[in-house]
Amino acid sequence: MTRADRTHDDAPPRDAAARRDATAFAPSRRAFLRGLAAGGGFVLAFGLGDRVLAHALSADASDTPFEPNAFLRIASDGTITLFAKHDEMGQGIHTGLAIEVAEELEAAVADIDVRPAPADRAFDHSLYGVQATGGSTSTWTSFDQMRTVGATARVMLVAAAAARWGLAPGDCVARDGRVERRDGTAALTYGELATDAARLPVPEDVPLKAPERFRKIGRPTPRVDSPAKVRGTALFSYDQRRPGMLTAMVERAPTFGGSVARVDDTAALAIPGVRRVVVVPSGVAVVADGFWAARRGRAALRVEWADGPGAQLDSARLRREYTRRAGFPGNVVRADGDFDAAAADADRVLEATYEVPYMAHAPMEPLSCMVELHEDGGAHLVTGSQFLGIDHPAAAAALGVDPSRVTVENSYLGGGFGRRANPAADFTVEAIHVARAVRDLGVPVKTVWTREDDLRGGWYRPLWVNGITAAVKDGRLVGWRHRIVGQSIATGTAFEGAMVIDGVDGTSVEGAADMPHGIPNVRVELHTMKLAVPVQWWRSVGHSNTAFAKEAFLDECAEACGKDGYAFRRELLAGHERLLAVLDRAAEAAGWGGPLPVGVGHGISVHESFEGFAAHVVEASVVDGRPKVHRVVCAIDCGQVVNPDQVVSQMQGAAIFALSAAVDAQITFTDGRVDQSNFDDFPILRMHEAPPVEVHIVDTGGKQGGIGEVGVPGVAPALCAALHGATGRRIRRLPIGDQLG
Amino acid sequence: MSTTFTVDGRTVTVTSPPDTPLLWVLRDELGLTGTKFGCGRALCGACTLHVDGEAVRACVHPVGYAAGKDVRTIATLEESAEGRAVVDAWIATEVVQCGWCQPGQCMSAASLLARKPTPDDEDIDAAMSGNLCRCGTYTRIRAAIHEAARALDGEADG
Ligand code: FES
Ligand code: FES
Repeated sequence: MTRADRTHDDAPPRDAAARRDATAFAPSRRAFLRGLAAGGGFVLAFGLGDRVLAHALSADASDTPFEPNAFLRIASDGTITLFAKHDEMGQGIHTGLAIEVAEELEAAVADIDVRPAPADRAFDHSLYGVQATGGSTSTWTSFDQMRTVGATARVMLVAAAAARWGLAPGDCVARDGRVERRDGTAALTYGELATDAARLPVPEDVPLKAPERFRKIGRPTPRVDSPAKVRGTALFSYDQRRPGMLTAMVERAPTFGGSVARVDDTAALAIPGVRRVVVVPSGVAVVADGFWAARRGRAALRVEWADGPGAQLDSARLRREYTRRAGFPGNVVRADGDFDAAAADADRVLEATYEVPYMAHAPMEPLSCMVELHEDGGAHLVTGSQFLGIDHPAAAAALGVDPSRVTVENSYLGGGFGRRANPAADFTVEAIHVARAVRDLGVPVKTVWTREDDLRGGWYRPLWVNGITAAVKDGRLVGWRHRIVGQSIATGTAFEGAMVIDGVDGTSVEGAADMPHGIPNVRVELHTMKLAVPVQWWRSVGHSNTAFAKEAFLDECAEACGKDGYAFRRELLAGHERLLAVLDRAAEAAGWGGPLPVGVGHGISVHESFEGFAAHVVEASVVDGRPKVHRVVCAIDCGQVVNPDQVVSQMQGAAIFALSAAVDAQITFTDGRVDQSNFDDFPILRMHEAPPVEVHIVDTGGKQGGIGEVGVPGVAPALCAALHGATGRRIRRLPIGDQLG
Repeated sequence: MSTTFTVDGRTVTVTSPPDTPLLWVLRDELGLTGTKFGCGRALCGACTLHVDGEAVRACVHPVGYAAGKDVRTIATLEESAEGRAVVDAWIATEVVQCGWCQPGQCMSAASLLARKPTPDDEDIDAAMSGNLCRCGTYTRIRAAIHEAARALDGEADG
């Protein structure tokens, strides 16, 4: 036992609950802390509920880094390290977390070295109770916790300085990485105070700044990861290397649920650099010296497959079946008033079917996971994951060991969009199986995916078909029935219990079941389909479907009522201040109602998702039968902003991401096989197709909410409304593709 | 069989078969991971680097073709005036999101500026449409290229 362990164990828990938590999570945290404390360390860990659990003091009294909690470490050379509980996949959260800490710590954001946190319960999501990044929750759920992290450390550093000077803490002030005497006669850097601070008791209930006193939160702050990413020195999962490492590539069944019947690996093994060919549960793995040998080896494999349940998949048939179902009543999710009576009494009943396809996340960096097996049956994993809290126990289960034997190191994520938060830990568990199959080689094995693997590997946003019916009377919308047909994402996962209630997966109906519009008779129904296609959350999840159907159909209703899309929404949303605020801002900024060039139409949408509020105006025309987007204007209200430039960046990126899904990209099946393979047949927007995206941040003083996903749902319906304005034609199925040709 | 060439000014001799794409020689044999992989079929531009000053897609460029040539990656992009201007503008404009595509974007942008010091939007469309960004940073890439061009122009004047 190291001294770090002993001190950690000896530290008196604050209360019985803390003792339970500390016991439950001690093994992996100890391993983590030991790593941190090499050369001396001091850690206090925040457990569930941000409670201070324990001190872990270590070693060298002379040079003890100050680690006031599992998140923060201040070394005596002044280095400040922040272990980021949320994964950096482009959304700027490493910078956001650093800003939150720095605001209270009174240090410069640029002086904080932000690193991805390893798998450890200390880094559990504050809301989900599992280590995860998703749901557009990172900023707001960490806001108080990270500020507390900074404030706690600051109070201890000030106390250390006060003791050194024989002053009261009130006679000292923390500023820019130093503690100064208020009389201005002396100052000590945080590094100089680290060892002393490490010995102090951890204060509780440290007060936080009132927002009026924020000096960093809410102001544009440069991203901490930009320089390394631009210069190519930032480490992503795919870049991770270890001495002797081999690269594995898995040939997976061409149909979902298929299995290996027979393998002829003669030609594959003859490829120079190919070391092994092994059968694993997901297919046949070629283990080689590097990517290229693995790829050539895999191409030389001859595998006969036994068809699985996915062998019958055919998109045309699925769409017909889904559409047929939309004509029948489903599981009732919401029933306000009496829709049938309203429809019977209406002047006019409108009906339409809206549809979105299966969609791949296609993060720019394909998936990978490296596994280094230990002799004791455990392992060290190096990955790029949004979901260490799922991957870690799943890896341990696949190895048949206690999670304390498994450590997981994370990297920068070259995009995630939900794919790296796999509820079955698919790419992690597969990498474990591959490594175990070649355990005797005694080297780390990195299993890598190609783009083809990524697009054909499943875990898509579900195909969804919506049957919507509206009742119009006296020029007003009096009835609305929305039937949703699609697979459930949560069913069959660890989240089923929490997310599927009375047979209704909340993600299938989000954005529809909770639509706030002032319509007296609303009915929402769900048909849950069971298919062999693995489905998963894709940036904005159910909202990517429901907002499209709802907003696009509202446009049809506006037209039927003889109203402008903006005015129509304003009436329906009376009293919903945050939605109205963003709607008004987007309309105003876009010059809604002003003249448009000939052939150009505009469309507008407004939608709440992930506790964020967004409105979009899109201007578009049709050129050579293809949609051309001229301009996107959006407004977002996400409450107190931490880094405004990154809110803008996320909204810009979300618009482009959403346009890619609206214009051309989709996943389809023929004879059980995925039709797409790479960026030629899964086209995403390119520079010459990307419109300027103008972003306006609105703050109505409401609760903090999401950002990253919030910018996606409203884009497609606003685009389709714009194309209707330009051509008079309604697009009701995504992607638009050649429907305007 | 071996191939000799220079990478970022350093002479290397590699043993990968000559038909191995340069990308995997750099990343796997030489351990230089600044050049990224996104598609393997010259569709995304993540692997863009310079061979004798020309932007090429390393994922489809056999290492044999690089024999005796000067290969430049993102690691030494800043040694050229355009490269420095691009990297500075990229950071100042906060282009980056996930970052995986960005070294390739910068290599393409520097190559554009070397050919055309003050590109207009159409030049940018033409030169950059082979570089995908799934995070959708195009608006800022465009702004950063204009910014880099202005900085280079200022240097030339100064
Ligand atoms: S990896 Fe070379 S162009 Fe995509
Ligand atoms: S920044 Fe993520 S792909 Fe371009």
